[in-house]
Amino acid sequence: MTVQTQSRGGGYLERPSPSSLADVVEIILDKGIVIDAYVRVSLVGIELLTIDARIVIASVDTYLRFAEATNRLDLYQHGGKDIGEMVHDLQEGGATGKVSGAVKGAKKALTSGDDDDDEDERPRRTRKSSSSARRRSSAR
Amino acid sequence: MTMTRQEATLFVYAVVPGERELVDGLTGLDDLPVELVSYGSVSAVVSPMSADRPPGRRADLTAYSAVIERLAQDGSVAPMRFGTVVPDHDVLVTDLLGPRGDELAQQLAELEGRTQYNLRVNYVEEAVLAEIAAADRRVRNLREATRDLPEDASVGDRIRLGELVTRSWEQWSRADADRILAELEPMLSTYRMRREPGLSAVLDLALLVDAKRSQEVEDRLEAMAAEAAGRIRFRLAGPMAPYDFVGGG
Repeated sequence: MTVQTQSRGGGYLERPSPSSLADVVEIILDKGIVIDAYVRVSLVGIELLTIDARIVIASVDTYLRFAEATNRLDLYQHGGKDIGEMVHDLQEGGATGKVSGAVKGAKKALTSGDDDDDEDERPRRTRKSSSSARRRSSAR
Repeated sequence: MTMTRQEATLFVYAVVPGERELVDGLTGLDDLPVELVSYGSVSAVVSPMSADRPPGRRADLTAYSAVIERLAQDGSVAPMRFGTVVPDHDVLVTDLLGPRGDELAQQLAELEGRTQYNLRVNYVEEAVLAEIAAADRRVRNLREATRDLPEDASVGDRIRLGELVTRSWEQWSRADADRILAELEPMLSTYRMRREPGLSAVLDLALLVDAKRSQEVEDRLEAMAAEAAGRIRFRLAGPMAPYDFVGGG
């Protein structure tokens, strides 16, 4: 779906194309005024898509999926040395605020690097986020 | 009562204020002309539909949505649930426009000059997982303990790891949701949660916005998205007809 988004202005805010079928279904499903007994719908091949988006599996499957995602994560690649160093410095508990601040700092540093090399970096970031969106939706 | 075969039924798109006129040439499902059925202070927007099939094809969905969005350009509109098909004009009057006309007219008046956006706010998975790992030593330890083992050798630890991560994720999600909502709320007429904050989304909202403040809302969201780039994704659909603010279903 990220492919269909268009950038306006700064372009950080994703704006989906209004005519994409997935978005139309997402917008209209189960909405609107109902006259009892007069709704007849047979959504051919569209049902699965909407059911997928509605169900959140709160179970062992979810835990395993998050565990897998955490293990797949290459902390040293994405968070850079910063996270490694922080992990070292960290004492248990109480340091959450400091850590997320530092991670944010690391992210900021990476992001401003992106800006210097706009054409090259933006698409890579988009691809990453769209693949994580796919993984997420498949687990819902 | 003889069973006469119904040749045509009416597909119902929306209800609009009674004084509204349709633009020329507006067509709906199967490219058939759209017309008004007026009663009292409201009108239903309908088009003929063959009785031998229920609506549900892709083209039906997009035609329905296109008619409603066109109507929304000219003033307030209360969309009907997709798939509403009635046998004839009489049923529209006896089951909708008659008994609920006043309520619908009032709803349309309240929606005048307002427009809907759908806002979806999601975490960037890698970024937030890295933060959770950095913030929680137990997560790091379990990760070290399980990442290089075969899956069946470490199911218990993996479940424990996932449980810790999902719990943090949900807590952070709710906290970020509160923060974002607090920043947006003063600019909104109202909003509805399409989903509660949690694992599947930080926020999934329908926003009702005074059209005069649309630009302000879009600009603010752009700024918030820029600030959170790399960690949180903001996705804004609309402006659109107020699907989430009619009916009550």
